[in-house]
Amino acid sequence: MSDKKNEGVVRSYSGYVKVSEKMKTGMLTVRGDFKSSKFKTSFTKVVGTKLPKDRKLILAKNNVAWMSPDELLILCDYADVSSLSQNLQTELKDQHHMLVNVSDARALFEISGSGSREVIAKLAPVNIATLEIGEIRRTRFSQIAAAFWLTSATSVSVICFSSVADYMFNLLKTSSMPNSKVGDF
Amino acid sequence: MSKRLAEGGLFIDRNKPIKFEFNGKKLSGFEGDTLASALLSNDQVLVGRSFKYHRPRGIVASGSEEPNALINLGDKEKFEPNQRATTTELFDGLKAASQNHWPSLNFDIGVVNNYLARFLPAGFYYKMFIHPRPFWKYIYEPFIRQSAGLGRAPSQKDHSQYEHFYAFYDLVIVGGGISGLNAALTAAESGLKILIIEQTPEWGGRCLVDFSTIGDETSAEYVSRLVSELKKFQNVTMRSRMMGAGVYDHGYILGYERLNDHLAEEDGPRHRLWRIRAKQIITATGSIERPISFPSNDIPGIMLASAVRDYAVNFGVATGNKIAVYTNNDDAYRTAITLNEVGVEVPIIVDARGSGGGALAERAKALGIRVENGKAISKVFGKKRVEAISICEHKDSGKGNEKIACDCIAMSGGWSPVVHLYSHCGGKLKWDEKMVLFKPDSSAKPTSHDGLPFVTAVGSANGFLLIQEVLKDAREGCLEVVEASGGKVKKESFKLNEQEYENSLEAIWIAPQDADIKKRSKIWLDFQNDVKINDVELAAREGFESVEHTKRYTTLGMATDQGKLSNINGLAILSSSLGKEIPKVGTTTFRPPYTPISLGSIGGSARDDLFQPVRKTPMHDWHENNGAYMEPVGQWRRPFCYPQAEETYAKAVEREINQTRSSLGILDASTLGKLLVTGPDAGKFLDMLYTNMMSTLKIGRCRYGLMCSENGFLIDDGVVARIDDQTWLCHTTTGGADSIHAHMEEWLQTEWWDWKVYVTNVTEQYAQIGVVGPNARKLLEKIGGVDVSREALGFMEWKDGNLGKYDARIFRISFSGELSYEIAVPAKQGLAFWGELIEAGKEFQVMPYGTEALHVMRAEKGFIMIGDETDGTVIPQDLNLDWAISKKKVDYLGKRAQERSFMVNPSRWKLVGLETLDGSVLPDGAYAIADGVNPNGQKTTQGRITSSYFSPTLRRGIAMGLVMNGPDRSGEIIEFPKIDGTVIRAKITSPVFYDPDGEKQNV
Amino acid sequence: MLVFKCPYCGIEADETELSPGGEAHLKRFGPGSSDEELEGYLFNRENPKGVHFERWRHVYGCGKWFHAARCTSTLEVFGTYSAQTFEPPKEIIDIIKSKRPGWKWRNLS
Repeated sequence: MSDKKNEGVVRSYSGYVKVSEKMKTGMLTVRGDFKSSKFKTSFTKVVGTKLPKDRKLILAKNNVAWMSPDELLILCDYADVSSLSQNLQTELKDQHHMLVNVSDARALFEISGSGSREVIAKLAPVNIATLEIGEIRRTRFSQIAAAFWLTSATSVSVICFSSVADYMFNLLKTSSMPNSKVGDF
Repeated sequence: MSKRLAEGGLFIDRNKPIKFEFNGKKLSGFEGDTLASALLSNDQVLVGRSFKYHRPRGIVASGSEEPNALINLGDKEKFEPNQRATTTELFDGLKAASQNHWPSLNFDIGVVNNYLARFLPAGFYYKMFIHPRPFWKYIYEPFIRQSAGLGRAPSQKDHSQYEHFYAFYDLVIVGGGISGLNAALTAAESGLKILIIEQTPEWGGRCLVDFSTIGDETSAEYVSRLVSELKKFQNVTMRSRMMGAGVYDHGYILGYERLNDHLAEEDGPRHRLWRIRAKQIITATGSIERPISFPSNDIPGIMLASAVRDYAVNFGVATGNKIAVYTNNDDAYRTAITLNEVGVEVPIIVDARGSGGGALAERAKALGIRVENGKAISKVFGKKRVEAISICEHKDSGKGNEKIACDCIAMSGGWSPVVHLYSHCGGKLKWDEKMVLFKPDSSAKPTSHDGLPFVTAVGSANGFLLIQEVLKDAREGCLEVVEASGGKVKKESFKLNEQEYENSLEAIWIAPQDADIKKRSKIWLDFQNDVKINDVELAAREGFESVEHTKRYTTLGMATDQGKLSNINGLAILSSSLGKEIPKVGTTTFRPPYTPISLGSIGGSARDDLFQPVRKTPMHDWHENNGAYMEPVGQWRRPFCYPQAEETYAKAVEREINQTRSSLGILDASTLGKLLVTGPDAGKFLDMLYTNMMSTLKIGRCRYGLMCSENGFLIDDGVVARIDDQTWLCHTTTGGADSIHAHMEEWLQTEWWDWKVYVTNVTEQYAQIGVVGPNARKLLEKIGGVDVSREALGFMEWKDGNLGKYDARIFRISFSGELSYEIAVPAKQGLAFWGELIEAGKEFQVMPYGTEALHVMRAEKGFIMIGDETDGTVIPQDLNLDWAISKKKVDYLGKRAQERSFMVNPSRWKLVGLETLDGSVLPDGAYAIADGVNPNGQKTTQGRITSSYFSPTLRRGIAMGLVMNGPDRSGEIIEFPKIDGTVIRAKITSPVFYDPDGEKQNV
Repeated sequence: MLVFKCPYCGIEADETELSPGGEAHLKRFGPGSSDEELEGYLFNRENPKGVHFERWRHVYGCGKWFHAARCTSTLEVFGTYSAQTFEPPKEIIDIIKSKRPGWKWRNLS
């Protein structure tokens, strides 16, 4: 079935929210000293955005997510990772840093529908009601590590390791089965 | 008989009849009935048999405290044992069966125990089944197993869905009676996020049954007004059919929501376990009525007075034609008055108190009901049903002086606040001498992360039993809590309305007061587990002073109801037997859950595919589609071998090895850990982590390395590749990827935090494929691209480049002893690359091989495997790996520990190869015996097998093992006894069985 | 089921998002140390009923190790702090002093 909407989608499921796994997303791990103004300048010069504040995610052409006090994740087009990485490498060459292409090591899911937050609340020990758009939360989804962020009031993006993409898809699918709506959001 | 009244019943809809089955008998009830009320409406009073003596048991209560009415519910995949009829809502087609009897409920062989009761006192099992010792295994245990447990275990898989839900609230209120509702309403205006839960389907608790009016409203109007006012608040969530199961540290509370149990057809998840964090918790859990301890108080038809009232008011059911009331407090008079109003005869109210009751007693008398003060029930006539009672003076030994006909007794021994949730997390109780009950000690509430109280009991759960006091406490108790959780509400003081005068309760622990031993041995405390007054007295005489010990010795309170009815009465008997005051004896520990919750809800969605995460490599589906037999390796699934047609696994492994050694094999090695380590101090860091030197490794080269714990023991091994000036790529074992990554982070963050090193786990970024065998190079050359010749890529070297259209990093390393390349490509190219290797390898009859072939080939080469040759007690020196331990380094993790006397003891067991004399395969883990015996009288041992395989290459069994002074004993023959008593003799050899000079891998 | 605030990312982390790491502020003894020092480093641990200092890792989160001061008996948390330190910060010691007068832990009091 050729559905334009499903382009770039590995698989999807429609329960009381829609769950879909994206085909390919570029992901670049950046580690360095975020307090260093030299680092900040270099980063902004190449990536085009400032460094995100703690726990924040900058939604731009390239999304930049704060992963830890010395780690960022840049989400971009799959094809752009190596050039982005090379440009950053050149710019950061005298600074202690690390750049790693992790595009193939991660899976990205999108959840949409008014119950999106509720579906996450079945899996992660996180107070989602207080989570704002533009905030990323690293946590566990049932038994695996994951990170997620709200892209709107009714849509959520989730990333996890690619080896457990099947498990994650089944988790999200089971949690969004029709007739399992909680109604707490 | 018990029957449906002509009218009445708040909860039932008489226009909606419902059909159900009990023990195969077709019965009918109404929508809104519980199974218990429906059974009673059909005169089914006898519903089960007790655990020990198989005595007939009838419904006692109307709620979750019910000890007797436990039934097998449903059938096939919906079968569930030990369900309480009193909390089971009736639905069309419900099938229930009684438990713990054979052949039938009415005629039960096990009742013979009843006649042996004199010989089955408390602790009988402990005393009886200890001698003679051999009897335990063949006679006692099978017998006990046969008779243990009430319900049957389900025989089929449960197909229902379950789920968890994480929720966060400022305030959680447990209990939807008038205390809970008033507390919620008081708090609602603060804007706090509030959840109020009620275990039954109905809001209002006892209020509807106990009071006709509250203020100017009927109680029904009052409750529905509270509910509708609460529903207006956006910040208040109300959930019925949801029980507060347990309260835990730091405001964690479990809510057990039953979504489907009341429906004939399931719709969505059956149960949902709410895993809630609350800043504050209010327990408005009410209280439970206590039975009275009088002779033969376990006969069906003897019920709690409040339950008799509930069945009449809520379900329009009369639990008898003539119902005698027996009480030590005023509340039971409400039952008598209610029964009188609905037209059921109350032949007598037996009040144990010499002074009698207050205003309610006057009302009862005015209705013409006979009231006898200072009296006791001395005897109950009837076996499976109450037929009559005789009464006597309470302050007497129990010589009955009047027989009164009745078929039901409504008893009330006072009330016990439900303090379970308050107590789960450390809340202390105090004994109220006047009210005769344990209640929460407001100065010793459970405390949270900030050291401040987080659980508050209100209303009757807090020891207030009169309605005006309950309402006042619900409001005022709530105010403090609202403030503690950061909210503000107006502090209106609560005006107490006048209420009827109630005379105080008088503690009656045995009735009649001077009952002799014969009578006391017929007074039941725990109806389900058959614990009587004389059992507790016996325990006290035998020295069980602690209430916790007495509980376990007598099984008092250990039944499925966890002593909800029996605990206080039992405790009082124990304290009087010990001559101590009740608060000195104390209560047993209240543990979650409040009532049993389903195992399904605890598991949530973690079943079938979701039971555990299964990690899959990019080639996983190919393996499965090509017949691989998969084995778990940590959370990964890896092909063990790829059997063809009718081939056995052993034959498949043999074929894979032979083809790899003679031509070409490929292996999915993607699960190997890959940790990228970079920074100016990365070399220094790796020198500390590995036993050998990594800082001197040249760019483009690989080195095998060992990692030890600070305790000196070998924890991981693998090949390290130097990528650039500041970057190393460390391969770990499959199981080590996450743990070694964590190990590195731990040392970097907590010990050497000033070192400039970053680590990233890149395991899943790559698909890694071993291309192995004499034709390995030819295959890569056929695909074309980067030069992999002997000159361009030597042994233990790596390089980046293209192979065909793939972005490859090629390591020339070998774990099999053959010419071998490990090739990493980005994971998303993995499957296609694998496919290309298979396709291009056809001319070499390429053979995908699994983990077992990998294991055998490495063992043939004498390579160790973490987890086989190591078990957490093995140091590298034990494995003759001294060559991989740097002598030059001042320090590395584990170096100091390896200098300990025990580690340098020359008689440590060391690695050797073992060849069986008869060519057979030694059992893995077998021990080599030596002369003599150890201090335990067991044979002395001198070694053990760590790896053992049939080698297709050598056509014989080969093994590796750790043997005392092994390497010095080459050629010696040692003996390995097998479980079957035979002995295998094996010769000590070098562990390298195949190509000891490494000619094959160096081509 | 404890909750600790991770001092690195500021998340109030559920116990199921953390992994425990035993006693805090151990001093490493390597080559050249005596048998007693090594024994103490590897094996001897405090086991207090009351104030304790522990290591935790925000493993399902930012991945950072941190220290926590808490009461093993009431589970009260006095504070969490950086793992890159040799001893608890003064603010936390002050809180403990005020809440648990007379407390002792190793050489701290």
